[in-house]
Amino acid sequence: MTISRETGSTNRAAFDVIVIGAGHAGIEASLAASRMGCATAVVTMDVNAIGRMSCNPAVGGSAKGHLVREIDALGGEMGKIADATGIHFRMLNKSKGPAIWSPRCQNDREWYSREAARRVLRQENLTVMIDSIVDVAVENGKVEGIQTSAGKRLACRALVICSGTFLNAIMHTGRRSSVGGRYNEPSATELSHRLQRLRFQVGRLKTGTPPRVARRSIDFGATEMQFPDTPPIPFSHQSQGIRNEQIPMFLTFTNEQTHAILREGFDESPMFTGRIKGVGPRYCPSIEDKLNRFAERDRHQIFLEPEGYESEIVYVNGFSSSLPSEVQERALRTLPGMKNAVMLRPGYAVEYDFFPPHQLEHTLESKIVRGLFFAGQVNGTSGYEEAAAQGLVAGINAALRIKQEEPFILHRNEAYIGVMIDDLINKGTDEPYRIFTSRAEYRLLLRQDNADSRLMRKGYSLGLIGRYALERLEEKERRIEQGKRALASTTVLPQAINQVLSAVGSQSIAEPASLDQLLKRPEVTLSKLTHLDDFREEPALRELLEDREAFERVEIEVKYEGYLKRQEEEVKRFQREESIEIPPDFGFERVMALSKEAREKLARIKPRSIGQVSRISGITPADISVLLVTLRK
Amino acid sequence: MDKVKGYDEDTIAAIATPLGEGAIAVVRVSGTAAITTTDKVFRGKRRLADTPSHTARYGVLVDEDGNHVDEVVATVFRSPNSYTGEDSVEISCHGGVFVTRKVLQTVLAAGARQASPGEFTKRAFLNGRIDLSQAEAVALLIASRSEAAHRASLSHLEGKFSHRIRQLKSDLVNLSSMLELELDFSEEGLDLLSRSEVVRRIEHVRSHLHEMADSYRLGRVYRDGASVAIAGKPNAGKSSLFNALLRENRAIVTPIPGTTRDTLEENILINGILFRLSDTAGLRETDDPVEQEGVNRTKELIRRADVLVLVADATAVVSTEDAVEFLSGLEIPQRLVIAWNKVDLLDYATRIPLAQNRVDGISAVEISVSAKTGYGLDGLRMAIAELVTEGNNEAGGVQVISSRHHQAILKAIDCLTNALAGVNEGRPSEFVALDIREASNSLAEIIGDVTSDEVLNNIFQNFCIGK
Repeated sequence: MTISRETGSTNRAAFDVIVIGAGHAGIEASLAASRMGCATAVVTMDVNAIGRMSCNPAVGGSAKGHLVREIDALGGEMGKIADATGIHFRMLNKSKGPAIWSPRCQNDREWYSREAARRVLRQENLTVMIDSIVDVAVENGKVEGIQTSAGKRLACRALVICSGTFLNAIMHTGRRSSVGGRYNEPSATELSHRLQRLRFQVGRLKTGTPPRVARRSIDFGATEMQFPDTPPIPFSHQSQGIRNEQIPMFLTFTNEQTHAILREGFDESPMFTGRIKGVGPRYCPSIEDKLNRFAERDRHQIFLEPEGYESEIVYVNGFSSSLPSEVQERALRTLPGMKNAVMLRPGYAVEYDFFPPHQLEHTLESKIVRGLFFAGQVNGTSGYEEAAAQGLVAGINAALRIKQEEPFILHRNEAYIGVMIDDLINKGTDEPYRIFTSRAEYRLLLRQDNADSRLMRKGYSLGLIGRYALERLEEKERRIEQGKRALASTTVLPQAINQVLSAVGSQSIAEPASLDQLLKRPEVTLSKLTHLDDFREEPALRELLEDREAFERVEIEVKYEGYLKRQEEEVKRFQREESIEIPPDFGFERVMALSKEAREKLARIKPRSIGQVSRISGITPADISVLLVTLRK
Repeated sequence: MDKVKGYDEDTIAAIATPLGEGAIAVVRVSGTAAITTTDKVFRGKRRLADTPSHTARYGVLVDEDGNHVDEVVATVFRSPNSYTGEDSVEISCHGGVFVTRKVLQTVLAAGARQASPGEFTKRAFLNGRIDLSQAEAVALLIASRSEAAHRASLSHLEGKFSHRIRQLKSDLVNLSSMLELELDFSEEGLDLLSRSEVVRRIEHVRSHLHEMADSYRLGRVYRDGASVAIAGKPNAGKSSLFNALLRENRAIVTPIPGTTRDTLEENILINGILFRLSDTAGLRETDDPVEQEGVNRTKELIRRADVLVLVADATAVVSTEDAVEFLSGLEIPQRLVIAWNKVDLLDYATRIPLAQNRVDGISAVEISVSAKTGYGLDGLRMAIAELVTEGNNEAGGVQVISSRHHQAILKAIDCLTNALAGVNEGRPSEFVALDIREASNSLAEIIGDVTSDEVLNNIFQNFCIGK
């Protein structure tokens, strides 16, 4: 690794790929590009800010956990860093079905950042530069290089912008505002202006973060303890298991008194006074928003999350706010266990520039300037996982562009990453975009448990996944296939199984039945069948007991076989629509039968298939029919 | 302006009225050059180009050699206020096959192109004049053979049916969103819907869909008519009744049993519904291969009929049980009328008034008639019409008239049934959500909210040229 600190004004170092920002997107982009053999530089304002968890010290969660698994299967870093520094692992949504289960972990915040930095700094082919970007050099519609605030000109063939919330950022707490992208960190203004001059459209969004409270000021005895899973289940498919000590988290609730105090402060909230113009996320709502939107609820749950083993800081999850800090503190003190809470830092909202993502291709390369890629919050997303996934895709495609290879695009039926990017490009976003399982129409197929089977081969052919990991996957898939076949071919006699069935309230059988048929019954789980002699005498089934992941996959794929097949049929229909191509020079603006809005939108986005058209927001089915008929003529 | 590749608004023409019927015929011309093209061959007081929209102009049509083709009335419709949304001219000419063809050829020679089937409607659709289900209604409207069918198609054309489907679909979408919200925020402990509420909502939509699916039978009856088989023992007076209903001598009526060897079919209209009335051969055991063939055909007719009219000789048969005995061993339709014939030979007191009976689980209407005097025939006609329309209030004023719609509704019902089973056995809600989404997609396909290429293909191929 190299850390470059020179400040010479005519330095003309040349890189294949330059990545701006070393947050969660920048890390994946720069590691992927350098691992794919490109001479890469990552520019960050502060070496200590690499991989900083600027909001909650946690990775994964509903649908986000899926993203992390996918990043990992493609050879990305996030899951590995999270596994190395996780202090509280839990599989969320276990009460729902398998497509909704989502891994999540709390992390030691400082450790996560250190671990991320260590991995970036030791990476071959990757130079870390402490600087910031002020200008992009563009010639003939192509990126040529950048200019930094230290006055350096650096030539590059591809540029990936992962500048997070730092563009023209303003922080709000109550009536006070200050310029800055994160607590105590500066804002970056020049880049945003420069990109606007290049005719990039710019928008404004806001996001927020909750207050932090001193650990020793909380009486944890008055809260509910939340225990992690045992054993902890790692994110990475290549993990050998989690060895870190696991610690509990704490749950408390707001009450009427809390709500009364917060409501008094509404006059002071920059959101209600109209000083924040950016649109905030509906689904990571501030406590103010929650009170407004769910006025009938008399309490909201609040998680108290220590930011690390030794950390004195507790993250108040669920209490994101931009009210005056005095109001925040008074309200916090009404929560059980928080009577004497000392607020170390108030919650705040940050407003920032983003570039509406319809200006991008599926590779995350901009349509306006070749070689210029965007990833992360700058595209209007929210969350580390969303950012990291885009960083990975942008980094991979930047490298592929340089190597003059076919672009890497994930489709909606292949990965949540594909769903997210396709959504961003076609639907745009007027609030920070967060991934949800409901955004994936084929979510029964896109489970966190099969991310490796879905994506690892792709990671391998990109050169980001090693031979050994692939062999392990093949071994696991062999066990799954043999296990499924053995379940179908093993039949049990009524006398062997009826006791088990009646114990779970399932109807007894009169004729011998195959194990896969029994497993399809809603009440019967695979672990109920493992005690049968017929199970234990079958080597392919016994083998499953040694492989937790294969065991789980077999159970899901047998139990829900009917549904999975239906989704596969849907995928085929989807692919048929994707295959109705629209010529690249198609003149949407000249199809007068389309509505005016549709003509303008389609001319701007230039979709390449009927499938893509159908996902563009504001395009009506009538418009699609018109195009179908027009194309067929 | 350049034309988009493959999409041109060239001018098309076709004969819009049935060939050879009626005193006048209409040739329709549509496209950007419809008016100027027609002007090349139209000679009137003023040019059509100078004629305001929705105005008719008298003149003559001349061919390229200046010969008169026909006296015509040309009506100008200007974009966007025409059927297709384009400039259009409707040329009314004299109705003979030769003349009409000659008029069309003249317009084609002037630069119009022969329209392909459904092309006018396709253009109307492309120009946003009608939606998909309306386009289908046009096809059905053209094919409608009775007033009731006409009415049902018109109600589709007005969009009542689409509106209804859209409503049910939005109920499903709402339910899905609630389920999705719970899934997405399951960690927040949101409980938006109880299980019984989910069941209630699914059942609500499903029962409406059931009604609509049932209305398809009625819709089919309105569109294609219903079949009525007249059957009974030899010499019960089937042919006399058949003729009496037709009010004309069509079948050969003789007193010798077994005269009607072949089946006769005639159409009659009752209350605006078209009925195909079949007079069947008797069902005697016979060695005559010709007669046996007639017997087989009768059995098939009875099996497939919408309504079976069992004719019993009131002077020879005493009880309902005896009358239906004739039907034992036959597959018969759900709707049965027992017509007690020859009541003119009986005392007034012994005649049976109209009565509802259940025989072997089949609801039967009994009525006394006399084919000879016409007594009770009106009652019989009404009974037949009521039977095919009973139990159906047209599902809230809308009917399913296309088999594509019927199929899609059945599929939606299937998915909802599956969803209910899932809720009841505690299947994880992402699976229930999939069933509900498939149901709502299925409804969406009906109204074109989801359009697949195949759907469009089918719809526009069902047209005749000229529409």
